[in-house]
Amino acid sequence: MTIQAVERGLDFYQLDALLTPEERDVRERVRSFCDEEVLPVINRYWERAEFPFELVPKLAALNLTGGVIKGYGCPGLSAVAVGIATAELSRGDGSLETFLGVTSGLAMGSIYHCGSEEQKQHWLPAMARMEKIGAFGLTEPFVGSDASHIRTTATRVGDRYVLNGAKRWIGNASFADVVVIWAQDSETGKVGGFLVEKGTPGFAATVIEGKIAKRSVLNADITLSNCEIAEANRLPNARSFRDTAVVLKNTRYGVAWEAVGHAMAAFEIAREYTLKREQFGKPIASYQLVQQKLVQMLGDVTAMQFMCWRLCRLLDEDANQVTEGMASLAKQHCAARARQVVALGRELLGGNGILLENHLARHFADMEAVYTYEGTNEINTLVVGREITGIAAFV
Amino acid sequence: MAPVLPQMSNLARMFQQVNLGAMVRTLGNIQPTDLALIVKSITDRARPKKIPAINGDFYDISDVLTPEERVIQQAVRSYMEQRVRPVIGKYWERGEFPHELVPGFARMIGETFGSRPYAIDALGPTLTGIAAMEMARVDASMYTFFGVHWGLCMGSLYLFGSEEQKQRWMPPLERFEKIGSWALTEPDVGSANRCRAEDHGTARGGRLGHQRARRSGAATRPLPISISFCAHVSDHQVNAFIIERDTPGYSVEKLEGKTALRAVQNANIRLENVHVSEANRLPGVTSFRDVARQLAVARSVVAWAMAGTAMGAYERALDYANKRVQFGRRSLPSSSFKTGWCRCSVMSPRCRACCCGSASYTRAMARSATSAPRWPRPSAASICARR
Ligand SMILES: Cc1cc2nc3c(=O)[nH]c(=O)nc-3n(C[C@H](O)[C@H](O)[C@H](O)COP(=O)(O)OP(=O)(O)OC[C@H]3O[C@@H](n4cnc5c(N)ncnc54)[C@H](O)[C@@H]3O)c2cc1C
Repeated sequence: MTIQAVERGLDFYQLDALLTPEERDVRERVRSFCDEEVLPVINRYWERAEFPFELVPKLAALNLTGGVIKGYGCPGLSAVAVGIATAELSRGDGSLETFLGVTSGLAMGSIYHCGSEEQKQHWLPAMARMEKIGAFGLTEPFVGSDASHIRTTATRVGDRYVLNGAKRWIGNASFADVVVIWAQDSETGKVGGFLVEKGTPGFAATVIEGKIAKRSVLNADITLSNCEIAEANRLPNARSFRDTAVVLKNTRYGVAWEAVGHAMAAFEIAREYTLKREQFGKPIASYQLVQQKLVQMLGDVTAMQFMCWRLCRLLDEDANQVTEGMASLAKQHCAARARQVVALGRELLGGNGILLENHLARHFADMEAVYTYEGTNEINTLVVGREITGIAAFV
Repeated sequence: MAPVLPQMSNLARMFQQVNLGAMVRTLGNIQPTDLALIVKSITDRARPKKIPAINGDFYDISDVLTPEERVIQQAVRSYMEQRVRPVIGKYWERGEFPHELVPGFARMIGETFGSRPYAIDALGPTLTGIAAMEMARVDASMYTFFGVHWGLCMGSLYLFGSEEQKQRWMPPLERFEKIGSWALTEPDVGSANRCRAEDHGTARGGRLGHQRARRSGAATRPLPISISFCAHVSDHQVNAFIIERDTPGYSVEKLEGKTALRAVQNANIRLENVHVSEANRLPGVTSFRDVARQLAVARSVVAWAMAGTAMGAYERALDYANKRVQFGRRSLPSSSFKTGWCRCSVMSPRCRACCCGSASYTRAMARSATSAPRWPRPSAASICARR
């Protein structure tokens, strides 16, 4: 680790010393990718709400896709490495991070946890090379937080399944090669997972326009009308919503790290700016009220880093010891803190804080999506609440 | 007693959705207290309660207005609802100003604000504040466009201009035939309002150099004029000048890539040896104190606008929460979830505090007739800006 990183407040308590060489290597790779490839071009994509396809091959070359999955051409990283990479990527750009999180964490994760051996062999290696891109379709127009009660149905007809219903917010769905659709099996009434391949008749995706956060990741509305898929495309180990929840539990820590990355970026940009910007004849960093904001930001960033690091070490030692509540607490807490950190940073830049060219505005806006997806602040709060009190308070 | 017959169609629908075996097993294990709760919640649902009307003005602050003034408030509100709300989202996203709205907006302002002798003075501070609140309730960009043109540009003319200047510029500005902007901030001077642009006095008037300022409205058609504040070279006093857009040496470049108030056009201005005739200097401005006086008036209106933004957000959030069903809460709105409910209930008193703060401030201003009261003036604005 460089002295510079300590100075920049990206690693104030030397988390670096707790990382393996592989984890440090991942961080450096992603950090330079962001500094060299992402930051120079990303604001234009963000403002036009376009996805930077040009960056996909370079992102693939970082060899992160597939994350913790071992075998099937995947990198088999530690959860800590995946977390650190996630934070670094969202420190560069949140939309790109979401793109990776959807295909790597959610789509590949579903196939890995719930798929058959053939399905894994067929999809995972190509997805790890990003030759194929995945999407994850759980949320529906009328079902967001109450995800276990989705209404899309899958009805078995001979050796095929017929899917009917609608999905909303599905990242990458408009161009993905494979979309994991979660639907209620008409026979059992249980939630199951189904792989819908690009171009399947009855599947249509329209990009949602007018987002104010994560503008350069493409989210879509999906309609499924008598969309027929082969029985072989059902995920055999997705037997109920419990299995969906396992996939989500295993990506939730990533979203917590994503929040850390946005907060790190905000701190770094704000610190530099306050040292350069002079008002009343002095750098604004010399004013007490400004220092107080910077210190609050740094305190939150540092605490979040260690919270997330610990959660991932627990996962690396034995994933079973990590409860749903433990995963939800990190997401809930970090998203809430990071949302404040980016707001303070934006404040410190004055008017320049709402201009894309200074990058902070983008992190500020993107945090709003992080705060809401993968379980809103409230839902994750209630998951932890249920675990620590034994009382479910959702309704 | 006659047996209670359930409706067969309902039962049939239920069987389609329910795993009967699992249901019977569950029912077998149920505790009497839980059963009572379930029955209660089912019967509660069967009787949908009427959703109360949404009202961001919970304590009826509009009560401070006379019936005629309420008509004015309503006129602004319905214009904003009917003309602005349907189209403004698209403009916001594209970062464009809705020029198509200007003629209708001008007409609405003309009809509601009147002219006495100058329209800017016609409503008085409280009603002007409430009009600003109504604009920002629907769209803060549209309010800002108005605030810059009316409060800042026309406000400067009104406070600091000579009678000839007022007579020449006010009528076309009031009709929005000319659009005004107001330039104080510079690239290196934001919070510390000490201008660097210089004004070298000469016999023919002023010559301005080296200023780039960030202000709203500058990149807006039609025919903007701009009031620029400049430091006087000799004694560092501050002066203000009216500059027309086509003046040689004056150039404007739109600021791209904003993430807030995207429909407002803010610009960088460059002034290179701009010659301004003495007739275009506002005689009432001699020092920064004058600018501060104007800012005090303007800030109170901004406070009202923030109350409006909060009101709009509260009303939209409540409406959404009333309609959005999750976890099967149908007739009970999802705002009945504890956390959602407490968000809404937190928002409401804040809207309240904003309105009250702004109201008492502008009333105090109205009492002291011309100048803002002495007590800490940013307080209304800062109360409202806090989340
Ligand atoms: C940028 C972006 C990308 C996304 N990508 C994907 C994707 O790739 N795949 C996918 O499947 N989904 C995706 N989502 C959807 C996301 O997971 C949902 O938005 C999220 O689960 C919330 O659902 P909702 O938006 O329907 O909100 P709702 O569930 O309608 O919630 C609205 C509000 O009500 C509150 N609320 C609801 N129930 C309760 C309760 N019981 N108690 C208290 N408060 C409650 C919520 O906390 C929230 O504040 C994405 C969303 C975004 C914004």
